[in-house]
Amino acid sequence: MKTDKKSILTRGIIKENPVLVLVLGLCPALAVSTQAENAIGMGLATTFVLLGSNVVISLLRNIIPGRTRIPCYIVLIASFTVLAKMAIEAYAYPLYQALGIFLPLIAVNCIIFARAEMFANRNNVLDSVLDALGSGAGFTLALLAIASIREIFGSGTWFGLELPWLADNNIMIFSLAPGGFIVFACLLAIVNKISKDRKVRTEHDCTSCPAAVACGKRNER
Amino acid sequence: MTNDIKRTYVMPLVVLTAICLVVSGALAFMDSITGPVILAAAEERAQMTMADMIPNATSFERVELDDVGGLPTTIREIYKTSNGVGFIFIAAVNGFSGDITVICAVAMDGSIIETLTLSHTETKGIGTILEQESFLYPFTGLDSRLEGIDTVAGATISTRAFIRAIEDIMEAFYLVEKG
Repeated sequence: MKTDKKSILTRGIIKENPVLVLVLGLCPALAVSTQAENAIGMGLATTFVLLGSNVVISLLRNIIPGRTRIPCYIVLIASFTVLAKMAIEAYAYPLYQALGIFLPLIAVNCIIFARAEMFANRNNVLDSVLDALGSGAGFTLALLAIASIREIFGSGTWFGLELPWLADNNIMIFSLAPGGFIVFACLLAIVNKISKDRKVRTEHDCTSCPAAVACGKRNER
Repeated sequence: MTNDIKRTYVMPLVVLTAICLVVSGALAFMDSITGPVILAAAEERAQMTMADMIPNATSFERVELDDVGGLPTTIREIYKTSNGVGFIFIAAVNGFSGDITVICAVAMDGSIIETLTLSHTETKGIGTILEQESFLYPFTGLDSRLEGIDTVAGATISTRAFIRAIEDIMEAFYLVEKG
C-alpha cells in the first residue's frame, strides 16, 4: 500500500489518467474540448475542486462515518464547485461563459468522486494533495490534447490564433459532438496501444485494474 | 446498545449537519465577496451594449416589468432612454439547445434600431448564424410586420426562435409605449 510521493503525483497523469485510462469524466471532456483555451479553464477548475475536496475529505476521513460518507462527499464537492463557479463568474467572465453548464456540473464529475472514494478517504493530507494535483493535471492534459486536435482541424485555430490554410479549410465535424467521440476514441486507441506492452487487460480481476493500487478492495477477493 | 444507536444514527446525522452548516457559512462568505462584483459587471456590460446600440441616448432607466401588464413571458428586461429616443428590450426564448438571449433597440416610431444575440448555446457552425451580420442586419429599420424576414434553411429552429423573440419584443414595445 505504501507508494512513494512521486508515483502518487505522476500516476494520475499517465498510468491512471482519468480520461484516457480510467475513462471517467467523459461528459465534460467531450463537451468542453472544442477549444484549447476552454479545455485549460475546465481542467484548472476541476483541479481546484479536486484539490479542495481531496484535502477536506482526507482531513475528515476519521470523522465522517462510513454510512453517511457519500452524502458528506457530495455536499463538500458541490460546495467547492459553487465556490469555483462564483470566483470564475466574478473574475474570469469569458471563461465562465465558455464553460457554461459544465462548470456547475463539476459537482457530479465522477473523477472527483472516484478520488475521494478511492484515495482521499484512506490517505493522509499530503498524499491526497499530490493525488489531486496528479489527477487534475492528467485530466487537464487529456482535455488539452483532445481540444487541440478538435480546434486545429475543426476551427483552424489554436488558442484562438488563426492557423494558415487550416482556417480556410476547416473540417466542421471536429467541432461537433461526433468529432469529439472520434478524436477521443483515436486517442484512447493510441494510449491502449502504447500501454499494451505493459499490461494485458483480458481478465476481469484486480491485477488488470489500473485503480487496484489505490483501491482497498484489492485484498478482499 | 446505546453506543450502537449513537454510532449508527446520531453520529452520521451530527457530522452531516455540521458539514452542511460549515459549508453554508463558507458559501455565504464567498457570495458576499463575489456577489457585488458579479452584479456590477453584469450591469456594466448591459449599459455598454445599450450605449452602443443607441449612441445618442443620455442614459438608460430600467422599466419594472410588473408595471406593464400583459407582457409576453419571454421578455426579461426593458430599459428606456431618459431623453425619449427609444427602448431597449432583452428577451430569452428557447432555441435548438437552451436559451437564446436577444437584445433589441426600438425607436419611438416602432422601428428596429438594432438587434443582437446576447448569448446562446446553439450548435457551433449552424446556429451561430444568430451572431452573423448577414442575419441580423436585415432587421434594422423594420417595424412589427418584419417584412422580408424569414427563417434560414439549415438553422430553421434557431432562426425561428430568434424571430419569435423579435415578435415578442415588438408586442412588448406597443405595450410599454402606450403605458
